[in-house]
Amino acid sequence: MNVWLLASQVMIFTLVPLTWLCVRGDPRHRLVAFYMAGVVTTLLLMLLTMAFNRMPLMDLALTMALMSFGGGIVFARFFARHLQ
Amino acid sequence: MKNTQTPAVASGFGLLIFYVLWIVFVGTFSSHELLIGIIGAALATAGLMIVNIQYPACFSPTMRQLLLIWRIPGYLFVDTWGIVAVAAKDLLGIDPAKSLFRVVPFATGAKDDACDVARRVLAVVYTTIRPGSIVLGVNVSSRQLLFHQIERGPAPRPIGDLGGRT
Amino acid sequence: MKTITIEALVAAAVLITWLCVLGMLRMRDPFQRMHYIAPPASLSVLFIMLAIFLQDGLKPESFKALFTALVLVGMNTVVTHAAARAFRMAEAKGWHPAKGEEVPVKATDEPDVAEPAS
Repeated sequence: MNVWLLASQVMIFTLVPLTWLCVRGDPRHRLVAFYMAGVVTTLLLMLLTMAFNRMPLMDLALTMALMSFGGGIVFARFFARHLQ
Repeated sequence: MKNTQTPAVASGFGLLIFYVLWIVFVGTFSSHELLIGIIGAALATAGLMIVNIQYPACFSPTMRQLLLIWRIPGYLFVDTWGIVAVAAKDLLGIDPAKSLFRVVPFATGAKDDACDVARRVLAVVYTTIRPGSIVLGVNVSSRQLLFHQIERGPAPRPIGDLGGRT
Repeated sequence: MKTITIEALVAAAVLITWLCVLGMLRMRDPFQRMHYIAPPASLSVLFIMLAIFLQDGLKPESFKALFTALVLVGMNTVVTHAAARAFRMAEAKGWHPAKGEEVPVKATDEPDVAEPAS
């Protein structure tokens, strides 16, 4: 057990309330929770990279950050144009 | 920072940056990676040049405007404390969270002028990067900037620094 | 000393993330909730990046963490702005932007009174 593993174990539980927010309520609330879950997942991957000393996981964290951006922009545009 | 660089200088700069990024991502200086990196960087630079010809970037900030970024780390700490305090006060029933939308006059300038576009973009970025405020948009026609604040307070400083009349 | 610094940075990153998730749960408005994305996407990731640099030094993974941090900070700003604008446009049903208009302004939006900037 190292500090990185402990931190990732504590942080992973933030996904529980975020998942709850993602599955209920107004689409806008769900979208915001989805964005936050993407950020938290990126942070988790960075922590897990150091926890297990598996450097390729950092590529996954970087990809997650980039893809979250792309997906976020697409959802935002869809929202503005179609969910009025 | 005026847009006076020749395309050759800009391409050379881009090639260098892409090559450095390739080396960082592969994490090795082996000869085959160095060679493939040149090809990869050249392809990326060619793509960048094609995009820049088709859609030339209309963005020309001054160095003074770019250097305003030095204030951001301080804002991050202050505003993080602020929004956590708002949530805590709301939870304890001391003061319910009362956020608001605000419209400020903003010297938007011309719609297509590179310097004015840069100023508007940086005002949006520097204000939205702070946890306490989110810019919704800048209306050039009515010369206004609309933003959301988590709690009532003075207008964010970047707005004033970059053209807001607060 | 270095170990303590690394542990403090990682603990601070986790604490900020948890506080912001709880803050997000507490808020009732989507615009209010969006504010709570910024600290994990900026402060937490910067603390983790600093801890990685302290632990690993100048290795490629450290620079990948730096690049991830920059992407997260920059892209979160863009996505937050885009989402906020999208929500406002969705609220303003039947809004057709005039030339030079980017976002609908409502009558309930508070006009600014001259105050000293923070």
